[in-house]
Amino acid sequence: MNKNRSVVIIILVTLVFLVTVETVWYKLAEKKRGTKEAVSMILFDDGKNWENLKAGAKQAAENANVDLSIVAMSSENDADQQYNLIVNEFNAGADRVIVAAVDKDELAAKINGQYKGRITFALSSIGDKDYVTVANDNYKMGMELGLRVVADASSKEVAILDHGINRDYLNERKAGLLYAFNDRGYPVEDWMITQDGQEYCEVLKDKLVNSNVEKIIVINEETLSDVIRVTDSIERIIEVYAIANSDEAVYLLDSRKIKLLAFPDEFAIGYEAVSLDNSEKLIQYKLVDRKNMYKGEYEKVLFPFVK
Amino acid sequence: MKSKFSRFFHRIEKIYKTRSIQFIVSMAFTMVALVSMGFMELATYSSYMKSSREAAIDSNMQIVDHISMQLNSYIRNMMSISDSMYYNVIKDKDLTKDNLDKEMSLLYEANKDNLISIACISQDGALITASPVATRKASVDFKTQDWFLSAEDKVENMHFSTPHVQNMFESSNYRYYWVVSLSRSVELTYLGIIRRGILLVDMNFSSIEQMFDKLNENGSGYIYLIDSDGEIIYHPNQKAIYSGLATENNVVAAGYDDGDYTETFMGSKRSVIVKTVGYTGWKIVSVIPNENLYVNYEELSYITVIIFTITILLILLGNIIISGIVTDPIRRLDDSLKYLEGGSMDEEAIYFGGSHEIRHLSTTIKSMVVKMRKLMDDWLKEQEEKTKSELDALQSQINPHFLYNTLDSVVWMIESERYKEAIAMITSLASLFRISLSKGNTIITIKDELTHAANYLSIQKVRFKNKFDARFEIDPAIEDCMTIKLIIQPLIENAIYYGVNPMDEDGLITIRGYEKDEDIFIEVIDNGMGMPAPVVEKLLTHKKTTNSKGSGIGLWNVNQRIRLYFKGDYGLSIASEPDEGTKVTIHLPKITQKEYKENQHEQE
Repeated sequence: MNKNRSVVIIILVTLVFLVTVETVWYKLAEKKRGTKEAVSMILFDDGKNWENLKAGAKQAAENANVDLSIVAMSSENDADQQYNLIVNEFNAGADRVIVAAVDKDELAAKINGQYKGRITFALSSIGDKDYVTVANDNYKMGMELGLRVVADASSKEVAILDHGINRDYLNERKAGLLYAFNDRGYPVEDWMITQDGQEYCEVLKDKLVNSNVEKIIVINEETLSDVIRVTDSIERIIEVYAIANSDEAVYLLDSRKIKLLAFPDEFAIGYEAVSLDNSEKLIQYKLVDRKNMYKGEYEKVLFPFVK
Repeated sequence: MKSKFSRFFHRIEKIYKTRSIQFIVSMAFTMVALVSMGFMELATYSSYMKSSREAAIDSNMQIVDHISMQLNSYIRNMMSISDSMYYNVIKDKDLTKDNLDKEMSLLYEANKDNLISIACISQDGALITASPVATRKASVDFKTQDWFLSAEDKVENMHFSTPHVQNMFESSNYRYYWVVSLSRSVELTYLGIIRRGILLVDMNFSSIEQMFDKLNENGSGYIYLIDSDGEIIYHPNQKAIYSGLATENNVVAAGYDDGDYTETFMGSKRSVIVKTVGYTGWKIVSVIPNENLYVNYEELSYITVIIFTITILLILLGNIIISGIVTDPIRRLDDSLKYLEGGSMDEEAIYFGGSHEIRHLSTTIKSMVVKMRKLMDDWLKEQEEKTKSELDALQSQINPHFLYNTLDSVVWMIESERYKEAIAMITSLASLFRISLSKGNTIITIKDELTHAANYLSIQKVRFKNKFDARFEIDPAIEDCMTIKLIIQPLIENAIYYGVNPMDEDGLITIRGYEKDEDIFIEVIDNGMGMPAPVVEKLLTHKKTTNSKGSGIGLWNVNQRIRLYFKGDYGLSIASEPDEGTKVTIHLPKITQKEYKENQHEQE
């Protein structure tokens, strides 16, 4: 009977133990299921339209059950502010931060190895062993556009319009462009116009009038409308090439105001940056002209939203 | 494989044999309960999964039916717009005199929530009219667009395009519209001459998108729309799919007939419901991932596991307790039987308790113990008596009176120089003692016993100076049979001392031996004084009837020894008549020497 009593006690103790373990396991699993990963996206404010990037990020967040918050910086865009924002977001409970870096190297130096595996750099395509980057291959995009321009050039003079904004992705695109021209031995002018608005237009017009440039390549899409306004006002034909992905850029392409558009797929950048895959990604871009912009694969990328 | 199974089976059998009954009972009950519970859980689980799946499928089927109805209604609406424009307006107009603007505008305005534009285009690609009014894009050739080509190709049908961006009219606000184009070939009348043209109704894709977006809000599964070739018309993850960031099993789904299916895509199982939309051939595909099919699956799994754990352990607990209650009396009875094994014959030590059957068993065992004890006591007593009788008989071998008298007679014979008689007497005496001892055997042949009796008789005849005569009438067939020793001589002794010796005339002692009814009968008959009946009765009941001058073995002793050894009805019977004589009959079983030896051999 004593033996039976021992067995009974063992069974009761086992029962309590198993029920406790199973309950704890279930509660932990339930908590895990109900817990969403918190991701913050920090975007600088250049007047840039982030609509496509945000749309991609939101779609990915919805698919991956991620809690996404988008932080727009003020007009003071520098690495210091970005670093502070990153720290704030992590302190506020973010599991990951995606940042469109103003200056990736400077920012990376400030971060200095902290938050390894938890920061994703969007737009910048320079690889970094400590942090994931999701971006177009900006350099290649610039290079390919440059090669197309050279191929179409027919000895016409070409100028690259630089608005003077120091951004990694812009610098990469310009570097690609310059490489293409240097590689082909084709001369190209590098026009840095840092003015804004009417002043910008005046400076540009002045340069155009006083030069023989007949092809210009716009790498800052926020200046695109100004550039078109200026080129429309000049008597000779100026062919405009651009790296842009705004609705305006697509319209201008459709209106034949832009001859060739290098279209970075920022929807895909936003999507991949948020996805839980968390691996290095180079996103494809499209070189689109009037002939192919309404073709299947281009149309779907150029016109991602149903209005 | 067979030997492995055989070894395993033997191992189980060995374990089974070494375990207590309580263990076996509780384990057996637990295994039965486990198997039963397992089947029940499996059946319940299967039933739940099936019911859940069916309920989810039914629910989604209803949603799909509903959206199909809505879409059908929408498409029919568009088709009716096209029909109205064609049959009520275009067919009735001569375009050289009339225009279509007013009617087209009215129609457009009435349906502008769902339309982007209505346009009529000539066969050579010229825009005849459009609503809303818009400037045609100079660079666009309508004749190269899919809606135009489809309508031209099959003039009798209406054609639905896949969603595309409208590329027809100038737009000043950077707006581009995704549309589904409904195009048809129409007959345009110019001064009675019929020319072909195309009527185009561009449906606002956002209407379709909103229809499906509402359904895809709740997140458990999703619905998408494809054309008959599998091209996606609407998908909640459309943009990601177009960018190559996500994939869908749309091409396979295009091959499904209407109904529900289970498919595995990207490593996940899911249920798919397909319904074809009327005129267009589009398919509505509802996808339900398997984990969404089962309501509160995790919670149910948890509860099931908890219940299973608790139930199993409670069953185990219950089985141990109940089996203990049932088997404890058996165990206690078993323990008390160990005393029996140890040699204790105390029936009070046997456990009594438990169920009716155990009590009955205890009572039976107790009764057996009592009987065993009595049997053992009887046997011991019998052995004691046997031993004593044998001892008595043996003791008689060295009765000093008989020996003294016999030797005295021998001395007298020698002194009388009757040497031959002396030798005969000594020889008879030696033979007498030899057979008496019989090397310690209790059982001898009847022949030896008769020889012993004959030797005794020859000695006594000399001593009693031939006062009597003795006659042996023995069936030779019985001589080889077995008997216990020293049974005839005591009878002869009594016949001499109480029968013939008191007679005046010569007496006669007849020893007769024969077989009857498969038994042996040996009679010692004298024609002596006889005995009255009361004396005869006492002879076999009263122990002490020995003659001090004789061997000392009484009739009671002989009878007792025969009965102790052979059991049953064997023994002595006495018939006597005063002055007539006495007949004492020895009744023995017939046991041949061969049979006796075989029996001895078996016992060894």
